[in-house]
Amino acid sequence: MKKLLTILFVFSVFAFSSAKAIEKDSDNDWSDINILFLVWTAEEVEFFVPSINGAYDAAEDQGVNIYMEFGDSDTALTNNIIETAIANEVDGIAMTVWDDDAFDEIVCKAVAAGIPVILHNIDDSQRGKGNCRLAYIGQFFIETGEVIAERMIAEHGLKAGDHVFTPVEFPEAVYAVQRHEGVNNGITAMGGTTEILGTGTDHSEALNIMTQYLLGHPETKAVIGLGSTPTSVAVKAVQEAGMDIPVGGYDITPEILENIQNGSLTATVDQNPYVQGFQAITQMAHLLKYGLAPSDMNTGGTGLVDKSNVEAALKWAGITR
Amino acid sequence: MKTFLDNLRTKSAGGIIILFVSIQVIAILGGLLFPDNFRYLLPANIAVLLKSMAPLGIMAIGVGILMITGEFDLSVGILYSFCAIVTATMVKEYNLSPYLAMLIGILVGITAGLIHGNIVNKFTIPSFIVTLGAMLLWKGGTLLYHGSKSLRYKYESESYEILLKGDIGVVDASFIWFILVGIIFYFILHHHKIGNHFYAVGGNSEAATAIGINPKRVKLIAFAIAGGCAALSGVVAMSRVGSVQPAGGLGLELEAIAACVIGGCALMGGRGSIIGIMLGTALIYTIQDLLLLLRAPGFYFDMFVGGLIVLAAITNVALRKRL
Amino acid sequence: MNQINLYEAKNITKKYGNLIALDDVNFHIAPNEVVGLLGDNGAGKSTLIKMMSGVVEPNKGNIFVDGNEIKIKNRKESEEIAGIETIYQNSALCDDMTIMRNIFMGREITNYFGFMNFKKMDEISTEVLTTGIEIAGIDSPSKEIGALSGGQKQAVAIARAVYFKRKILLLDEPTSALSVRETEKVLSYVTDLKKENVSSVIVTHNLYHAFQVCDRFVVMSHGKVVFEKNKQDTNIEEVTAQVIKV
Repeated sequence: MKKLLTILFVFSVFAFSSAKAIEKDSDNDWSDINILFLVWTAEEVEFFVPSINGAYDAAEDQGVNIYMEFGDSDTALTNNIIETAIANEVDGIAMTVWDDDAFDEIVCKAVAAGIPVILHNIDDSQRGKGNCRLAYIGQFFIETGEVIAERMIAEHGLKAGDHVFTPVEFPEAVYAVQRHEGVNNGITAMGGTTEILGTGTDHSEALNIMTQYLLGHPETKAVIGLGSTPTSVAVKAVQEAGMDIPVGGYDITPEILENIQNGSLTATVDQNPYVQGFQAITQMAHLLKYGLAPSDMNTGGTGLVDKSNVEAALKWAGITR
Repeated sequence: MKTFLDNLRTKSAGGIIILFVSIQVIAILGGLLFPDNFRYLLPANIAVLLKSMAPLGIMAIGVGILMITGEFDLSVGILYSFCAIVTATMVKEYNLSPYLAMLIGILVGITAGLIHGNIVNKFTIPSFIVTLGAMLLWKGGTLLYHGSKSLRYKYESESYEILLKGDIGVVDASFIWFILVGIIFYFILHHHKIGNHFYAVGGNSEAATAIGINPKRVKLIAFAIAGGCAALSGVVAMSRVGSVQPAGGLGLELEAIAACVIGGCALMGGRGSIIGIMLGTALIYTIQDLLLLLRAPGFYFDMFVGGLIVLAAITNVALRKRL
Repeated sequence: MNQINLYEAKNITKKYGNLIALDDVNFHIAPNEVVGLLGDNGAGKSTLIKMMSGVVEPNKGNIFVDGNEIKIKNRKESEEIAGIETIYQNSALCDDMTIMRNIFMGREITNYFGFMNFKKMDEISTEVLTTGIEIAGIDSPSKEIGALSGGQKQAVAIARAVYFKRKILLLDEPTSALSVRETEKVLSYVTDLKKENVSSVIVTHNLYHAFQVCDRFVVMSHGKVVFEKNKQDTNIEEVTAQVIKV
């Protein structure tokens, strides 16, 4: 009798727990969840291709719906897009705060209306204190600036009194100011100096202006690009200026990967745009489904892409890298 | 000497010639006197200065000729990118020879210009508006055609490499293209009868019509030239740097207009010269180069360049007014 | 006198919708004469001029050139068939171009490929400026039109028309923007033109000027010709009265 009861007890426990174990996230139909994924730039910015791929991959994994909008670097247009989304009662918004003040009101309005907002790619400079957003998935600009600066100092023996050129597309943008702050922290800590210069996004124009800067500043000991455009053309600019100094920088483009492979570029900071899109949607889905609070994530962490790991980047370029 | 100066002042390019020569003389003197601190005459500097002028210069020649007839095409910046992308994809995806691809790219530019011109003519809408809309349309078209990825452009043909990227000392192939385009359009604008018609249509359209010139036909030719030059400038820039960005050229249309105005072209039409346009372009890039060599603060760089451009334009007008 | 008129328009009617701009108008121009076309605003003078230069076509009526009936469909035909050219108040010249380029605007002397023959055009321009109609104060065809006075500009426009063998000049308010001295010059050119076998029609509001140069006066009102007399048969008071009559 005791044996029978034990068997029955074990069996029912087993059956009960198995039944619980059988229920998975994918057993549920989450297709009525609609999330807005807002890319803050114009459609033709290549950087966001992996990010958008990541967002779609995450949406498929999570079984939710997402739709894409582009803010065209226009604060007014972006505000309008969010207003429309709020009016349409979208379930969640993944967007970018690339101007510290222009979006404070609209983000708080969305959150107050019960629509959670998660940021990807660029955060308010005061993080959660400056904005109603719930979480930020993207690069921690200052921290990564310090990482690349330290790498360049260590690998190339930069010392006190050395001058480092830090060009960027748009010096007044938040990402530029913060990356420069980080790099500058690292360089000035060892007694060097940095200078920032705007290059725009056209590679031909950027190449000209960077070459001319180097010609005017022959004491420059290294170049650390703060964005994909200057980093892509930096090696060529150094050559055309008739100099032989080390180059490092940010982001991934075919030129940058090629330069890492052939040794002319030391390392680049990869903010893993794929992860930004992927995690923004995944965390939003978790929040909407299960109430799991999202958390800040420093995409790319302290990892740099250099000669030791460039092959994977090359293999998946344009898709997830 | 006085009559020479007076003569110079009456020409539309008079102001820019005086200004440009003065600045170059000062810069060259500076380079000779302080070769270590002011490396203007360093071969590497001259090389990059010449290279930098070429794409905008070619574009500005087309924009300037159109401006002389009294019209604008604001889409030249995006055509710079779009036509270069077409050229690159013709080589990469359809395996055409780079020369043929370049020709196709230029033809696309010419066709775009003709389309814009026809719309302006047929519906009598200001070209400023039509081409503003066209710019946005071509921007979207670029995405449709190729997506937002930038394109590498390296073609292993020795002759093509030399023709587009080779150099003779400090003079790069792109600069030679710039000079060639300048020479060709100098003869067309100043020596051919169509050039006379460009000036007539821009200067006094009613007079031109009264005399029997067809302003619409004349403007159409100018639109085609502007589109073709924009396309060529994009291909030249792309060959130099080995890649093309989908919207990299946006903004160049305004710089091209600035180069023309600094070079003595009248915004309202009827006045201008090829030498003026070329020197106007050269001045903008010389100013950029001088500021960088003089170590102007990087953060405020754009302000300096902009300010100096305005100053150059004012000097131009002042020199002319003293007539 | 039984000479053939250079130009004759008979029974011309032109309507714009319900508005009758020209009502059964007869008008002619004889060789070696200057005709004054007068009348208040809205009388139909501009329409008549436009019709003569080929810009508008009449609804009814016939046109004769040198006695032969023709139809003129456009400006080019009026230039080539009838030899008519219009000189406007603001002459058809471009300020930013040189005298030489203006004279040859649209009629450039070129080689086979279209490239201009500057040497020839310069020679002819100089000739045009110094013979025929003598324009004082212009020493070179490379001067820009914008540097000339109003009277000189009109003179260049007239000289251009004469060079290209026009037989009839239509002058539409040619002196209204000019100073007194320049007006005198232009009026004397017009008188001289008769010697070059060029006849003129002057449209003007200034009856004194008209009396200085015209041989015959035609006054229009409300689309009709209301008065027509040779100069010797009338005086300025009579013509004035006709113009201001309602």
